[in-house]
Amino acid sequence: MGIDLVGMEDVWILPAIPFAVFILVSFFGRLIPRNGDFIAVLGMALVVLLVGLVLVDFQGAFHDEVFAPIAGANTYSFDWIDIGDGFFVIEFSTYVDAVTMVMLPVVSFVSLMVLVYSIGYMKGEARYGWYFAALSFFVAAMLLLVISGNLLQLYLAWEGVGLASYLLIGFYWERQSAAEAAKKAFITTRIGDVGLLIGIILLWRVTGTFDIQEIIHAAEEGVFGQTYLTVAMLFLFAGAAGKSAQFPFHVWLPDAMEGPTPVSALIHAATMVVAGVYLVARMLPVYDEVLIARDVVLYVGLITALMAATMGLVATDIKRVLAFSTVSQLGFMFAALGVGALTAAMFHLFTHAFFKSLLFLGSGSVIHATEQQEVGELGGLRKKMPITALTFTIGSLALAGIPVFAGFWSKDEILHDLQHYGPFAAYVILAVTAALTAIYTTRLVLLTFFGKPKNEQAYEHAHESPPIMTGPLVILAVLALVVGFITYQGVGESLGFVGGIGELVYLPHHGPHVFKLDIAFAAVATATAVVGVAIGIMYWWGDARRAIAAQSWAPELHQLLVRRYYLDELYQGVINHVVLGAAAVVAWFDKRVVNETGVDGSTQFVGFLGYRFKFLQTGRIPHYVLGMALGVAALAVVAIGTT
Amino acid sequence: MTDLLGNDLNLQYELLGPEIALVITAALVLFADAFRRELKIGQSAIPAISILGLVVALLLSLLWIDENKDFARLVTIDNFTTFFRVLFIAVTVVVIIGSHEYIERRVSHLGEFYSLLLLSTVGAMLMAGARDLLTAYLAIEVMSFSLYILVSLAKSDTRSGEASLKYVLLGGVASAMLLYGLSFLYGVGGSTQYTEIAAALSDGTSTLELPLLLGLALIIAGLGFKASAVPFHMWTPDAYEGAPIPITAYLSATSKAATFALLLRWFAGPLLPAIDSWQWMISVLAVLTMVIGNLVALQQSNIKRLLAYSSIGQVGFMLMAIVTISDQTGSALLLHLSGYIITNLAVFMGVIAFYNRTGREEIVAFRGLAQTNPYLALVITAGLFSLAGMPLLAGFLTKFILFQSVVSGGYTWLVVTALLASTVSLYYYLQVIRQMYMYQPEGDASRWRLSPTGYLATGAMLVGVVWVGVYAAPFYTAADRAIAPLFT
Amino acid sequence: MLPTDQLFSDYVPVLIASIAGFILVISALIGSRLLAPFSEEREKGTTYECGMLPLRRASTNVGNRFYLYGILFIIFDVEAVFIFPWVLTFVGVGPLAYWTMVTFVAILGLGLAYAWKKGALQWR
Repeated sequence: MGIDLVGMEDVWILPAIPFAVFILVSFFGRLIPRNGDFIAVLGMALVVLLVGLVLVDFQGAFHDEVFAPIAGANTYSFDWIDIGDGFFVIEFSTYVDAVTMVMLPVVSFVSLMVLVYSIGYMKGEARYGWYFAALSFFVAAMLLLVISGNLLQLYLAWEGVGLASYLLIGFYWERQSAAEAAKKAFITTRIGDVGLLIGIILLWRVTGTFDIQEIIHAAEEGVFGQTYLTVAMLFLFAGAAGKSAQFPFHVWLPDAMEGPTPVSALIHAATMVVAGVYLVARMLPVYDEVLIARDVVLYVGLITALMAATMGLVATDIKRVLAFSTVSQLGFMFAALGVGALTAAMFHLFTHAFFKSLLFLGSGSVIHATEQQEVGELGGLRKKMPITALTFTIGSLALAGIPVFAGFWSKDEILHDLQHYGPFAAYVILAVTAALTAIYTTRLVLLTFFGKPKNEQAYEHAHESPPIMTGPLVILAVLALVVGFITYQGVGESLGFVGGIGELVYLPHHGPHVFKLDIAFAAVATATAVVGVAIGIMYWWGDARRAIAAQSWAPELHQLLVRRYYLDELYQGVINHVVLGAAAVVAWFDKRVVNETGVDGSTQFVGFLGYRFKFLQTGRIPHYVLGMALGVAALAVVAIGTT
Repeated sequence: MTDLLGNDLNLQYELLGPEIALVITAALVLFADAFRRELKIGQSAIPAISILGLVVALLLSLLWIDENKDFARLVTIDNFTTFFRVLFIAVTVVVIIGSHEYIERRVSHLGEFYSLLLLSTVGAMLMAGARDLLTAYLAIEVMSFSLYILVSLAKSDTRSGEASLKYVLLGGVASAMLLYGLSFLYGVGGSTQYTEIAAALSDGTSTLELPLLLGLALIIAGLGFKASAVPFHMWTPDAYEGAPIPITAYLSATSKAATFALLLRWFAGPLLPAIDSWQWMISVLAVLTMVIGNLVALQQSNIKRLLAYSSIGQVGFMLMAIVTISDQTGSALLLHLSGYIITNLAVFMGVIAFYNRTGREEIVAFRGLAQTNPYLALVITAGLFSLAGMPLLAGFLTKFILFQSVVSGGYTWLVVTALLASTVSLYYYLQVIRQMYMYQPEGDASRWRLSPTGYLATGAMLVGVVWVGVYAAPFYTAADRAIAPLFT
Repeated sequence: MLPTDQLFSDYVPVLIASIAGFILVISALIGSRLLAPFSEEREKGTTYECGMLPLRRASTNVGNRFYLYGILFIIFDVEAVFIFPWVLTFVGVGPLAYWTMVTFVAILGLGLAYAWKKGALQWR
């Protein structure tokens, strides 16, 4: 190959760069001019460059057929911890294949765009340097996650991105809601993570390895029992669903919008939330062995996609609409994975990353200009902020699935695969969801950029964002326009790429997945999207008279959606009543015994037992002893009962 | 030299070098303090003498690496003993360095404080080394009696005396249970020597099922008290809250580790043949301990009580290793124990430094610490995250290895329970971290610094937490070599 | 190794003795309650049952320091318990026994010296 500077073996350097930036900026940020923001940006640009080189190397290797596209021979590893004579080996290992090669450009490029944009957006904020440091930490963890060759290292990075997300959602910790949202996100995803960890341990228990490829191999050899593997993969999926905000863990993502908007664009739209998709995609050969688990992935994806889209219809916060849309689109990807359509899922992940981060950054631009994020306070902004309006509209068209724009191609693929490999109902549900997507997207654009300004003051205040912010918007808008068809079959080839994404990303036992644009099918999909857009225009054009009328037509339904199916309340109730209740009951005895000692407790005690028992004035020690005695008795009973 | 039964006794006193050195140091410290005016020495000479003695003891214990000898059939000197000797000495050194400032200001009776600390270290070391039931019992009492007094030494804190009284009374009950259990065991095994009990129990001729079971229940209860396993844990929050904070740290480290050393010695040695009888008892204890410890911790508002319950929860995790005892779980337990001790000391050293400055110990008092002292906030956060089991910190790796070994021992359901319990634990650790990072400081918001000894202790522990988390191999090798003599 | 029944049968006399003891005490108490004459007078309730009023409360404060003396005394008392059997056997056991006892007494002596220095023997 021409450029051997950085090959696939050297990807470990990718996370190392932002991590070094993190150390540098967080510890010495005060000493560096501008708190070191330019270091973060330059570091990221270097990463993008290196990813480009790795990509070239990958394509070369692909041409030379050095390795089978998915069972890569391009791992790099060393024993990080080897203890107990091989009882417990943790390798640091990297693994690069086509799935990785989809993730790497997405993560690095979107990160670069977001960092550049943040220079404008975060200008003048307190803890400006810390923001860039935390963002670099996130990118480092995310890159590590993507290149991990073994599950333990992946878990480590997994927790790392969770921690970064926690720190960044809680960035504005002066706001109580931000602090609460950060905690909610962290704990909700952690519940999923426990599942992931259990899954990893279960897989390790049988195979004795954490290496992903070896586990896949073992699963294909039939080393596992069916039921055992199903359970393990379901646990693994719990982790993925937690991170990717799938039902029933989706509640944290809308609240996570408390973080700065560029953070939402990077972490909660393009990268971290797709980690779950990535994990399932990575383990898809194993899911293929246990179809029950794969079906669960499908159904969870479908439920989430539909549910989130309906909630997106009524949300009034511009960022929350986008958050629901993200949840819904992630549901699309899981649904695709649920029928084994790896290619379609990764393709949608790829295109979605660009147009969704574009939409978030666009909404950030609006918020930056007006300091409003309720759609009820916006409107008519296209005159004041033409670039933002134009790019945002492009992103919306991509999301809605209008032809030529990126989203159309990938969404079409998913629907196509679902129709072929999935149950018919699944296809119908996703098609309906696609129409709903077009509706709420149109609504969002109309309410924000068209119509009359609803808040004159905010409107007067509004202005176009500085070039450092609109620059990334324009770049991403171009990409949202083109990435769909250039990676699609045929078009990409003519532009000099190896081939469509379908020739790179596929499961070995399925063979390359050649996209064929089924004109009739695409026409139906397009029609769905167009109808959606039309409905959106019909209801929300101008003063949105029809939408308001529709609202009062079924207020209960509207309320159900606004309250997000009451799931947040349900969870909070469970936590309050069950978990904290149990804790309170358990704590009751301790409280009685413990907190009321001292003068207060002993006088009561004395009053109760009287003068004669003065020698018992020791607080509640008798209770303690009683507890111990009962404990011994219980132990004896257990002992006699079990032998 | 032979004993009455005609067994040869090895009276090589250098085998007990570390213990003897520490006892002599303890006496020296006591007299140096008593005659301070006559000898014209300052206050800080006393911790200096203690540390000197500890270093000598450390060197003396390193002499016996890879040896396997016994002293007069009472104490074994093998890698297991050496591991714990080093561990206990290190803990005491850290506690002394990190709490120097605290002790000068808030503890009465300096000389007694340091000498009792040294004596309880001797007790802990002998607990790890004993090979005879009575020696082990006496070692427990040496450690416990020193601790009973140490708990009461907080100047001008009424809770301290109360805590001490509770601790001593309940400790007495527990000792009685333990001793009663041991007498049953003696009746069944016909000897107080570990090796002979093991032989008696494994030859299968014993028909003494019931006394053995009762003895086991009593022994587990007695040791459960020392390890603060539910339902024998009730003294823990009181004693932790009332004791001077360095002693709380010491209780949560040495006292706990010594109990686990004893548990390992007994349950991998003399009691191993009866594994079917006690496996369920300890599983029940482990589940109760991790569930109740972690749930009650949710309700706490005092940092010391919170850490008390969190340490109870951690004991539940460690008991799992006893349930599935083998050389794998044993070394995993030793590794986890070391990681846990380092982590816990990191948190406690941070809390001590905080208390020195503010004199407060409620969780809300930590508000805005990230602004007034970011370094200290970082230390405490790293410690708490490590306790919660976040990757790259000691707590994750050691806990993970522990859980894995339990899974491969066939107790997956225990590990699932443990994982759920440790998710709950994240919630309350996060509460403290939130106070530090997500609120404005109350009152004085100016920056402040730690004392030099404070920096030394917290810095060393912080490095330790990260080191074990990132590169635990040397620790594991040590643990592996330490556990080997128990399973040969 | 003893079989279970024999291990427990050794304790049967102890059990019989304790049960007999309980029965004796309880029957004595019940018997006196049933047989003895009772008269309910005010004087019966006073300390000396004869109308003489006590001057102070029966429970008086004992100086805290008394316990220190008590403990120091008991330590040396217990030491004697060890020394008596030692005196009878140490010649046979040899020099080790001699030096062990010397160490033991020396440790106790040091303890006494420490207590003395701390002022435990001063009655203030």
